[in-house]
Amino acid sequence: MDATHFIHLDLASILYLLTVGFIGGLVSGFIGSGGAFVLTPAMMSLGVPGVVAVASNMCHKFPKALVGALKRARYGQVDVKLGIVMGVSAEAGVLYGAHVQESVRRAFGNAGSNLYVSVAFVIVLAVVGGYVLWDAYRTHRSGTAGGEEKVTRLARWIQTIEIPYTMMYFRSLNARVSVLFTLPLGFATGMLASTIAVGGFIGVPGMHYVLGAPSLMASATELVIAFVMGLGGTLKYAWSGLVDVRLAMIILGGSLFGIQLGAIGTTYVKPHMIKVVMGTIMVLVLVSRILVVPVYLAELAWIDPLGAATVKFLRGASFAVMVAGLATGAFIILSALRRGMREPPAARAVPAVLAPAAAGSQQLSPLGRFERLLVATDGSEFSAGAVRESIRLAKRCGARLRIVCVVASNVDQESLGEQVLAKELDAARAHLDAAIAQAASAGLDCESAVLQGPSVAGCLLDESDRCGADLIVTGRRSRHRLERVMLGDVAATLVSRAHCGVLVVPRAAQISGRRFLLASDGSRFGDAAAATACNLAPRYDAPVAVVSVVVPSHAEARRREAGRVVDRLVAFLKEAGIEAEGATPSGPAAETIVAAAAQAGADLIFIGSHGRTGFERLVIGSNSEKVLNQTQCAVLVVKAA
Amino acid sequence: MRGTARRAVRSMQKVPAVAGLEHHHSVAGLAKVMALGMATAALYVALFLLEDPILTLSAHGRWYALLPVTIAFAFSLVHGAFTGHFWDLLGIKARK
Repeated sequence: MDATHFIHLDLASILYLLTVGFIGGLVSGFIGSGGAFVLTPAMMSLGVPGVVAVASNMCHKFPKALVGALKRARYGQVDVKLGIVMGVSAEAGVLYGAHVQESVRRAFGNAGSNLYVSVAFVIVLAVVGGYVLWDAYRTHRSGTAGGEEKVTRLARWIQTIEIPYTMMYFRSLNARVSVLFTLPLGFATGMLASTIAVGGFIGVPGMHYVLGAPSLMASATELVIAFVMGLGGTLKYAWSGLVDVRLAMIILGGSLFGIQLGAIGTTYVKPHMIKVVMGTIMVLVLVSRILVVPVYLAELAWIDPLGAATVKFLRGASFAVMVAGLATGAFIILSALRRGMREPPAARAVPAVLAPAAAGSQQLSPLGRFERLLVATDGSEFSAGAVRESIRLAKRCGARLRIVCVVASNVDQESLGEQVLAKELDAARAHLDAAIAQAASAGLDCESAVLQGPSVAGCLLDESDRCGADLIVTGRRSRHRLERVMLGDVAATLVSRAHCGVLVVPRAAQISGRRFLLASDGSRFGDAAAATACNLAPRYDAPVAVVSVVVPSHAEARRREAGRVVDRLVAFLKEAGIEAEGATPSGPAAETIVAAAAQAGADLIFIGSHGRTGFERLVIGSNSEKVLNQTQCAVLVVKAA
Repeated sequence: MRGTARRAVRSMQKVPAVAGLEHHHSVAGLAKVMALGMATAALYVALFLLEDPILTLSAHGRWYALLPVTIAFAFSLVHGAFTGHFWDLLGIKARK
């Protein structure tokens, strides 16, 4: 094939494509998709053959999606796994959609193909766009626009269905879902992408309403799907020599400025605003497509022929409404960005954790109080569980959340390596940005700070004292005994020295409220753990298993005492309306508690520090530390007042 | 009091040492944006200077398909980094 199907480009054409690319990118960066459909007609209006326009659109799409996905991944909004899983099935949808397109073209000619595309637009946009707008309106009316998005009943139902060998955990859903549900969604996304160039009109609402992903994460994850689809589509068209890389790179130039601005814009708006923009654009594009349907019907001779002036008017009106759709979306995004940027920093960063507790709080005792949470993150996988669960805990308890990242340094290091320190401070701020975005996507405002000091644990302890934290939430690194001795263990130090409770969350642990396990030896420390469990269990609607471990060397009196302890705590919990049962297993304390938790299917262990159990009592916190190091579930170590 | 950890940085802007780093960053950031901007411009210049051979090879299709894909990846890396820093430099940053 020669290069005659590639057009000559002048300066005016380049500027025109740059502008259209910018607006398309802005919308795509904000809602995850939606800007691309205007680019194909824009290129065709310059005389580019349709198939080259589609191919070049594809070629600009995957690098744009890649950049957008990387940007939003920095804010913690991307679920790469879900994106790739759906992207692969979307690729199949693209191929099938192209095959259907070709069949329609062969059977009915270009007019039939155009009618097919327009009808697809109308049906999809009417159903999905209407629902998205209605949902945004409902959220706004209910006054929960700034709160946590509710997972739809459909999504909740889908998350409860277990189909063996097909279950997969997705971070954005915080749940396991069968891939048999993601496959058709991905396929439909790809098919729509090959039909109307915007698969996201199904992909984003699908991930949000059907699978249960937050809208911010759904729109960000759609960029991964778009990347996978775009790369595959580009290779397919480029194999036939149809990609005009100049057109693609010019549009890319404009859209990269736009997509980054759009991605930044998402951090300034409430989640329902994404739905408003998406729904508005969808409905306007729907109107645009409806306007040209009579033209195609007339070309197919399915209705009486239309006059030339009527055809011209309908086509012009259709194009104008489509441009208005994009311009409206761009206007809403830029306005939100402008408002957010002009908001004084003080208003954006109220030191909430230092403010008085929430007005609704009825608690008088510090025991089991969860009003101020302090969570430490280092951006690693080891702290991911702590951040995730602290956000959920803060939401359930109405607590204020302060996220901190510690940069460990000392005076010598600072003087020797300012560059290194600066880099670490930058990285710490990036970690905090990601955690804050994660909290924001859950509808939670939080505070953050970068702390600097020679000891991570020391900084956290200072900070918890300073802000009066009720609970420190931290992750746990899996270190062997020797490494713990050599390198120290932040979680263990916090447990032994903190004045407040410490919740240690291993990376894969999830506190879903399946069951809590309360370990007590009958001491006042055990009672403190019971009071805390009594406070927290109703918030998770979790039953509690109470255990008091007896070791083989214990005297019979101690065994009877353990039974009485369990009975007393079970009665205490039941009085509070909590489903509880007790047991007195026998064995080494920590190992038995861990085994009991596993057997009960517990996702959170409550344990008091400084329990009294023979020799281990001498080693302060050793039992809780052993439990921390051996269990795979979260452990809340409670300090007695 | 844990004196050794007293140097906790509450607000990056309020601590002189860190404010100094911010200034350092802004200068380094400007240099980085300029370097990336020039690299991006160079890519575009090269694309249009080599317009004819690139289009001719692209039109061949088959394994030449890798040419536009490689160009697109190169642009996305360089241009993507440039635009990201570009908005940062203008003070348009994601909300903390």
